[in-house]
Amino acid sequence: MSPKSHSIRTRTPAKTAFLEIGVEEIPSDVLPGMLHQISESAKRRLTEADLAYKEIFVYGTPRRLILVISDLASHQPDRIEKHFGPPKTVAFDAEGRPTAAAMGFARVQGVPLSALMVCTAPRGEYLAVQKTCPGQTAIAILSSLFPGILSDLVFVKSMRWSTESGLFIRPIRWGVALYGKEIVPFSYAGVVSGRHTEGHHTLSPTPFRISDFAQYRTQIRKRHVLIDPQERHDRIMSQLSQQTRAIGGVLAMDDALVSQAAYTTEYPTAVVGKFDPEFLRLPTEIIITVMKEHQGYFPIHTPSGPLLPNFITIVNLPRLKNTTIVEGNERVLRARLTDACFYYEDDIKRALETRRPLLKEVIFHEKLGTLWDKTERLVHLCKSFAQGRSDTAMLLRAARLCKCDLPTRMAREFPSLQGTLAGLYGRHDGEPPEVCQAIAEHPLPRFAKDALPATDLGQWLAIIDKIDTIVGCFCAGLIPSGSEDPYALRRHGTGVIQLLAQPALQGIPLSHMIAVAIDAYRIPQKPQNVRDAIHGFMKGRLISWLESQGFRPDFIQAVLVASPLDEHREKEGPVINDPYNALQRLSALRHLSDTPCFTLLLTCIRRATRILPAHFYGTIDASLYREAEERHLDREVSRLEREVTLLCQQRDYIGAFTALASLAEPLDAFFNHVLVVDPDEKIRQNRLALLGRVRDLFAPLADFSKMEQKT
Amino acid sequence: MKERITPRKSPLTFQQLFLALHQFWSQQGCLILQSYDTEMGAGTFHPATFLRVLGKNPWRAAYVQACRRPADGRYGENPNRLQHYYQYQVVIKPPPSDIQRCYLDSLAFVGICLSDHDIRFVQDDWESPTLGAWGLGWEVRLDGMEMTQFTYFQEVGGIRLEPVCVELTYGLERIAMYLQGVDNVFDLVWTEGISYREMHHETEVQFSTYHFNRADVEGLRTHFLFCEKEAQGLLAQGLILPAYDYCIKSSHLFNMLDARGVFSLTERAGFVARVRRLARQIAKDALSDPADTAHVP
Repeated sequence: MSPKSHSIRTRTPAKTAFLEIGVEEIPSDVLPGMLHQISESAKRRLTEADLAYKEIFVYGTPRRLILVISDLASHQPDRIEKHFGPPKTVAFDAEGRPTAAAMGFARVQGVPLSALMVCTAPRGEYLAVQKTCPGQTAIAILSSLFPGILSDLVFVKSMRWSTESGLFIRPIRWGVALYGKEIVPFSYAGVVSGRHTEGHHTLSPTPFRISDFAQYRTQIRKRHVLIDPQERHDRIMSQLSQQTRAIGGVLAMDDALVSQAAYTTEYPTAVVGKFDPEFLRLPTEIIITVMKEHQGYFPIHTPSGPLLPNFITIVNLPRLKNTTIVEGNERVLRARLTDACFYYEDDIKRALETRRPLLKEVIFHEKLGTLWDKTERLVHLCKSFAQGRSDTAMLLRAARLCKCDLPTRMAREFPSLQGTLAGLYGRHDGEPPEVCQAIAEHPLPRFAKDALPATDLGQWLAIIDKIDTIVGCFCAGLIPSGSEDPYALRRHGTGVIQLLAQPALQGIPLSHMIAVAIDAYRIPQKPQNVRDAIHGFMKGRLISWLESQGFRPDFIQAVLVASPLDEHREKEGPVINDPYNALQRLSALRHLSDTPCFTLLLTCIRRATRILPAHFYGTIDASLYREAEERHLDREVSRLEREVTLLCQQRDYIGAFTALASLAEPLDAFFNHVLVVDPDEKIRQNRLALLGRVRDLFAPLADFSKMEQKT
Repeated sequence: MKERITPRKSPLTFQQLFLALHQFWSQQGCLILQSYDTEMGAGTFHPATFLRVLGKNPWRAAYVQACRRPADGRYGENPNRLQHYYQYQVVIKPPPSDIQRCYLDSLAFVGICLSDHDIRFVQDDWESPTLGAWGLGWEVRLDGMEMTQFTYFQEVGGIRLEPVCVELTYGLERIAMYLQGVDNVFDLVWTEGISYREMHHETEVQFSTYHFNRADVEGLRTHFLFCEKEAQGLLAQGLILPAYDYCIKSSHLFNMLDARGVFSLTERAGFVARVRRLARQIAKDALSDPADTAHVP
């Protein structure tokens, strides 16, 4: 949107500015971020240049980055500049005639004496001149703005490709830069801007001439390029569902795969292929991984669940001339599945358990020993935490076997299947289903929005494995900082929090698990305060996870500062100990904040806490009450003290907050009619004591002083 | 001027394929070289790549390199995996600005009708831990099949390349299988009347047996130590080229030991680091040699 359109004096009509940078195939995972960066940088630079425009559009394919600025003003507005010269006292003599100083100033400024004037500045009156600076043309500005945008781009990994080139994500091969129909001249990384571009790399490779963006838009489509990622995305989605329907299957939707396809093609088309049903003897998880990870294929299921011997691949062509491409892809998948069968059948020749000794050779981390050591710790932690469970034996079995797939060929080929494979191999060996499921689930969640383990055993093993990794890395000084988190500890930490926020996973405080896990590491010289460091880290994960759930940061602070009243827990235990409780209280608080009385309640509570001295404690003497409103408030508080305590014990936080909401009016009435700072010391202390009880009522639920008043 | 490329009528035999590539890249001004005569895991080890990419002067070369990957042996039973296979390697320094187009032209030249296929450049950041080399680029896929590694080398032997160099590595068997429409590498027609099976099936059987079951581990370890020591000694005497031969040999010995599955992960990393140290020292010495005995252009 134009920030400056009102200030523009139009000399010639605004036109569309168009930039296309031709690049050798840009990796799909960085392309969306680059387009965003281009848009942000263009906005900032146009505002800085004071050049009015209507809208900014960015488009892109693996081979081109496109920026379109609609209705871009032909000039910057003229600027009026004031230059100060000598003081008036120096510029004029006693008779008021200009001195040599005044004439010198006029000469330097290149204006006649008559153009000079006297202006008042903070330090007195000075000679001055006002000059109108004509705004630069759009073309002049764009010829530094376009290369500026390119140099603004930040890459994690960039490359050089020729002697005159700078660094970029991949080699830049051409640049089209136009304002209306005129070329915007610039050069960047050895490429000079012009008006020639290319179409699809195999269907329309001959360069062609562009007159302006409107013509580009129609011509590039004719040359088999859809420049808008959204259009490609929509086309993929509709073709996927069309093709799946055509073979009577159900598509396993995978947003990441769709996005990858949209950003690796210029003209995507969905194509169905098949494979020998004989391969369906492989476990489904393996077939799916082979298809997705190696080839980016979409698996298709029957409506009842099992896989169909088909796949969908997205090709970079508007249509298929013949069956060559399908046959080629089928041949590749056949080779991949043949390999997978070879690995799988080789792996299951020996029982999973017999691979346990091999873990002694697999380094977990050089400072933290082998995976054998890790497994032994997991078993130890499971024993400590699972006391009294009926299924302890199964948990221990799962802990012993969960890493045993690492020394297999399949896990080396498909590292993302670690855990899943151990579950599959365990099932093949006849291990109990609960054990196999827990093993298969223990690496979950693998990424931000991944599923959590479904079973209780899987959840416990997942938590214990992650805590062991976090604790170990902290003990070895491998602490995440800034963008550096090579051991993905933040993801592990968030996983632990997510799991502990499950209603079923209550009972053992996280701080206790951390303490036991620290003791389980037999390494010399653990850093001092490692426990505090881990607590702080986990608190950060808790806050970050709650924020990702859409809770207001001030609400999160309010709830985490408050200490839940729960007789089963230490009163002043670390806040990380009960993510589930924090989640419940936050949900209840959000519920309360949507009710009409919330603002009044918040105002009153904040007022009460403001008046109360820190750590104030007093006792109430009912005989000192003077006003009806304070007696009424006292009655309400007494009633609520019983009710809220009970509700908190039952963990009915919505009930507790709803009950507390009824305090808004009596409190408001109290503040309106009762003067807390009564001249009589005893009465004042008594009223403060009453407010102290109000504060204590809310204390276990949320610290209202942390909340922001929103209107 | 490039020749007009017309589609071929019948698919190329295996030997016609590399002859066609020789012809194509020769027309692009490449020196046509032969396979290096020491066992190696990839064409990048050939001195025409490893040493010649280091310096400042232009360099254009193409050659077939026979490669050995002991761990990939399948006793001749797998239709796609071989412990001995052929790479077609092109190295050009500095990379011409139309190198991608040129590469696509080479595909058309060997008979791949570009508009009939889905040709994709899939991100693949290449790294060779043993050579201390890395680069950015793609694996080029033809209808889903990986057929070429296309890399802009950024660093080799731990040395930042100035100018950078482009390396194209064609998987000859895969491309030939595609052209000839066969599913089993051994069914490839090498030339009229001779199949790939006749040339290499027995090699696969015997070498798989050797690498997986017979190779004398202690002997190989001793041999590795000897090669490492020899390379270091030769370097000290300024004999860079023989030193590099021993570096290549030590890398292959490491691959043989690895195929025997004798390494733990840490030990494996340790051996890789030892070969890399040799490669780095050789690159450094070759570049700083006042007599330029390694002909680092």
